[in-house]
Amino acid sequence: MTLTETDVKIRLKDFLTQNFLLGKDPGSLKDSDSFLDTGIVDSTGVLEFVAFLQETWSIEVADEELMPENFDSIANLTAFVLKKAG
Amino acid sequence: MLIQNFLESAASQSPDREALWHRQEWMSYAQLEARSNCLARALREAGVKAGDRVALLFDNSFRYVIAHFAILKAGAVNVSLNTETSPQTLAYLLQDCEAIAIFTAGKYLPWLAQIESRIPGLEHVFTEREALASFPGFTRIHATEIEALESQGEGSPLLCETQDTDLASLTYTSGSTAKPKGVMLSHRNLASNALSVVQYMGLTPEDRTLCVLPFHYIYGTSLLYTHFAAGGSLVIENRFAYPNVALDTLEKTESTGFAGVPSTFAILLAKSTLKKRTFPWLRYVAQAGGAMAPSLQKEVAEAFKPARLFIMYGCTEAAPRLTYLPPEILPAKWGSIGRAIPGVEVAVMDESGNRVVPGTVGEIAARGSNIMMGYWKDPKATGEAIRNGWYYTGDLGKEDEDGCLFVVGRNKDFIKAGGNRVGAQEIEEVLMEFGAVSEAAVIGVPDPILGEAIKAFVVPKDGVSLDLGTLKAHLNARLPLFKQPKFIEVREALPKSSAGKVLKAALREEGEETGKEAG
Repeated sequence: MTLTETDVKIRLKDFLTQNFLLGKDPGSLKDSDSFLDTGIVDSTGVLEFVAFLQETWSIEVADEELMPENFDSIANLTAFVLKKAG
Repeated sequence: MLIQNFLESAASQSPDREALWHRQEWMSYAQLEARSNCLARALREAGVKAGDRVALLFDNSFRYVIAHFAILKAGAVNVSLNTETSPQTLAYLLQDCEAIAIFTAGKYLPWLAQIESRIPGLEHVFTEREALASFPGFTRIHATEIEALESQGEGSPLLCETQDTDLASLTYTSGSTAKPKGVMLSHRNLASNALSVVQYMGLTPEDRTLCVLPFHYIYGTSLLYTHFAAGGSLVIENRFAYPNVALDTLEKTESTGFAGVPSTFAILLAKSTLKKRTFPWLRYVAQAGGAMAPSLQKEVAEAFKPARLFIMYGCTEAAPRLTYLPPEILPAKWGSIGRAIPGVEVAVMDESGNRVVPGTVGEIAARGSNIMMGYWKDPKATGEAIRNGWYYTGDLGKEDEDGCLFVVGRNKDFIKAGGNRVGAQEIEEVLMEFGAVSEAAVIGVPDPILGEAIKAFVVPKDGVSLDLGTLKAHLNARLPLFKQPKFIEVREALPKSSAGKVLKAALREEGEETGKEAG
């Protein structure tokens, strides 16, 4: 079954809500909002995303791929997942 | 010597030298000096007097440093707050330190408005123009934009009657009780310590350190003060969440130094391109903020060579540095924290306050001009920590025949998770506030990235269903992210002594093996 952008976003937002937003309204976070600038995710949090990508879509993240353009927003993460899993 | 003298001296001697880098831009010493003087005048005009506490709630930035020195130049006391916070924590800290003013990033304005009635002493909020434009305002507090104040009026130093024995900063650190303790550090404490570090590290005006540690953390403060004392530079990099970005900055700015806590290096080794890169300008790497396993020390030394690796030890109460291990003897002393820094005396004491012989475990104690004035409004805790002129660190250690110290354990119930010192009792009390929890115990368990991770054991009340999701939301509403347990395990009972005390040592032994999250 082909992975869709919607599928990926739903899973990512769910993971974000359960692990980083606990109790806060996820609707306030725009897809383009920087995790760093909004303070939602710190350095160990980014590594939790790496583990989540591996567990959920069997995506291996190379060290050089751990960059803001791949990880620092819902939009960036979605694009990265679709590129790696597609 | 006052802390602001470091900035003033560097600005006088080398006004055009680069002092700070952030987001691709440099700020010179002259620019930093002028702006902090203007802001200091604004504080005085707002009614801030010598000895008043002024809080600071910004991520590392030009603005943070300008405000930091402005507070000192106005003769006030700097209270740099952890930016990972919550409204409840902010209310407690601002009330406790009786801050009259705060410099804050705009994103905290809603929280300050929420707690306004709980902080009656706060009169002024200085914040960002853009945030202020869309902020409905406070009921009582006067809010002003910072940008205009930084360039308004006279850029020369204010007349300041501060003495070096006066209080310079209140730095909050976790105590063994629920509430953070304010460590009172004088100008002498901080300045003498900074100068000692400059001496043993051989810092010069040519040195430039990459700083990924927050300035509100005493180790970050120390990087700021030491490199300004040397007339060198600081490269502010707040994107360590992406370690390769930090390495790119290290390379691009040709930094000569880099400092981190154990988890900094664990992350770099595990999740960055560090091992594939070289940094020809890098002269020194420094590690403090908790014990780093010898295996990790070896990897770090190898990855960064030929840069010299300084293993260091200290605490907030020591402003902060107590010992360092000369890089040249590291290969013979893996795991050691070295010897006392210049101007400080360190000893291992027995329970009676007598020095023990080499090889015997005791409590690490220290004395010197760097040792804190005491804990803010807590003479009891001060008296327990400073006895007969010695500050007792709460760490257990021993000295070898060469006078090199080794930390063997922690006397007090702290967890050093990712460089943060977290009190177990505070978390336990928050857990106990959750209706379904009957008992709670919090320990640190080994973690390859954080050094220690926080693990909570909870016992539900009889017949009551305990939902972990709701419990986590309860914790999130009351504790900043870094104090929230990474693991929560539900147990029917906790191991206890005959006196009824929870046997945390037994939990630690179990936790080291599994650390799994239940539910």
